[in-house]
Amino acid sequence: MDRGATQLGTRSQPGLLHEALLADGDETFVAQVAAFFRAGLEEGPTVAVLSRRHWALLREELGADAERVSYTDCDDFYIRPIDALASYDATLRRHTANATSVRVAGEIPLGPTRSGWADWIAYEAILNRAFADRPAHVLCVYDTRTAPDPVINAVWRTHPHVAAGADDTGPRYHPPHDVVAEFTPSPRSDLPLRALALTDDATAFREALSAELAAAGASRAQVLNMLVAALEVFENAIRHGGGPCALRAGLVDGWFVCEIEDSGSGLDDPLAGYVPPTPGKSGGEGLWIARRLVSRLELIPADPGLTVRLWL
Amino acid sequence: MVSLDGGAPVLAATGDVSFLGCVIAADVSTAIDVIGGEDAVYGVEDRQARRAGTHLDLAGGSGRQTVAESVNDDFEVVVDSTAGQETLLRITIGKHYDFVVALPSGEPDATTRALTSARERQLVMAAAAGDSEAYAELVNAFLPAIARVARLYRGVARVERAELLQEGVVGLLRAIRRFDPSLGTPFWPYATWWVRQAMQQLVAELGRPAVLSDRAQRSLARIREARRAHVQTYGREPSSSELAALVELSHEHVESLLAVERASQPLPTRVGDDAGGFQTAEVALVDPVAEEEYERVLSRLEIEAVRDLTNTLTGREREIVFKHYGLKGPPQTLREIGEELGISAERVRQIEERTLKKLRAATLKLPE
Repeated sequence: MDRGATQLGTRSQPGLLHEALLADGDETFVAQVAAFFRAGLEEGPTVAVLSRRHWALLREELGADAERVSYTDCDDFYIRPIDALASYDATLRRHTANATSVRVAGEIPLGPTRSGWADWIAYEAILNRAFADRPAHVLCVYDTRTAPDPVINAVWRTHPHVAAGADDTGPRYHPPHDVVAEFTPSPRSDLPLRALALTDDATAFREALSAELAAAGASRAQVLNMLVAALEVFENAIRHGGGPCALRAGLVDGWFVCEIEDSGSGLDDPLAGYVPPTPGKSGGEGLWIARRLVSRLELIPADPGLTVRLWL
Repeated sequence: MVSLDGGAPVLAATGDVSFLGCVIAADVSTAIDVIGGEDAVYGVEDRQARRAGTHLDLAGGSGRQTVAESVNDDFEVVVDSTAGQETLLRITIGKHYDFVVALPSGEPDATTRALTSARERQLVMAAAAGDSEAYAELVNAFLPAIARVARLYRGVARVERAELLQEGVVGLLRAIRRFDPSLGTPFWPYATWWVRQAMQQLVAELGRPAVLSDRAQRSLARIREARRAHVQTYGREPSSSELAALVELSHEHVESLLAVERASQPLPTRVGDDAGGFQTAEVALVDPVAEEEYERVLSRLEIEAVRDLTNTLTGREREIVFKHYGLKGPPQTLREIGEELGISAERVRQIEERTLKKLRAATLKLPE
């Protein structure tokens, strides 16, 4: 269906082109995404991270060209935002190792819950910073018939370019910091946590933490994940925060929670730990590692300083 | 009560309503939240006008009962069958939507309910962290429920039950990895969305025929051969990563080809493909999952390894970390561990440091 004004963008500068397609149905989806891929096939690698149903439709449209597109099932790719960022990072690095540009079309399985939608809205904002310097044209596809209103509204704020047929009057792009801050749930206060013996010795901290985890009945895999994650945060507190000033742990609604507080200069970046580290370049990957290993990581201003809260 | 004005329905943790499940309508175009109160069920669509539901006797009964009262003429809820711990409801909204949702019915039957909700949550969180035993236990517990979902797709041509079960298990894993217990919703209703999604995708995919080029056919032949040889040597199917390594194609390329292969056979006439979308499930008895179906699903489980960082460790590294942190018996000091291994406590500490660095590096390396 041709609304006349649905035009996809072209990369005119070396870095990321992050674009959204608001499709009003399968016909628009197939026509636009096929055109997106065809335009890219001569330039370099093309990657589809789509539902199997959409890929089946697209394959029919692309015919023989479909074999030149790499496909991954979106349900396996978009697990949590941090996992999708890691997968995207790996995908982009792999495909740009021998090419100067790559095209990716992706659709996010939003899932049935509102908290899930908020996570993915924040994810879209993060993409803008995480991959700003990658030579990629990323097309995020949304189906306006089925995607929830809050998600569609946010698309305009998280994508510098939106291809949406004749209706081009939505609110405009916002900086990632603001969007992520808005869609990060406020941390709960006054959690019933127990204080751990204050120490700046990493081994003593690990022993105390693992005792708490064992008492909570955590599985081996969970214990190791939490130990590695908490160690990163602990070492950050020493390196950047003047050493921890409080250590807490306990069970909250069946979750195991650990908090590490310092009274250093604090951290006002809701995207901290979401930008994939550069391979071979060390420094600054502690929060990324921690986010990968635990269910949720919260950065809470301690005034002064910072509390990092890890949810297992 | 459910707030139905503006925005999506509130998913309350406690109180008089709860999120019971989410289903995709027959034409795969709309997701519908099913909200249940003590005596009422609502199907709520996000994008369109709210439609309220009817009073329904959730304590169950068996067989088929049509609910007498309707708040809204368009909305009918019919109890299709009650078996064990779940009730299948068929919900029709006007002419456009006709779908079935499974609801927990009445008190859990002690003999059929495998997991208490505390145990269930514990297993889900452990499995999400990479504990493959927890995952296996969850699959075992939920396979009968997955099989009941699969029953909805009976009559769709070319779809085998075994394939649907496989897809359902994949959907379960996705739900496990995404589940957020702080929502307050029970796990299974949340999981139904993902289980159905996986099955829906399979069904949709199989509906599209595709033509294979010569090159694709040759690659597929190599894949089939590699698969056959692997089964012969190792007695199990290779994972798609292993297949990719064997045929020297990228993981994504292999997945693409397998998807094409699934859909490339000619499509006979679809059965049950009328405007209603789903065939009415016959009144069901408990549908036992055959032993060999369990076997097939579980053997695939071993292949699709859930992320477990300890895979990267040597035996000694694992032993030291497990012993120091009480992951295998009571915790021991570095000195005690050193005495057992015949090395100094300091050496143990160094190995442990290295091990933790290894775990850290393994996290940075994921995913492949």
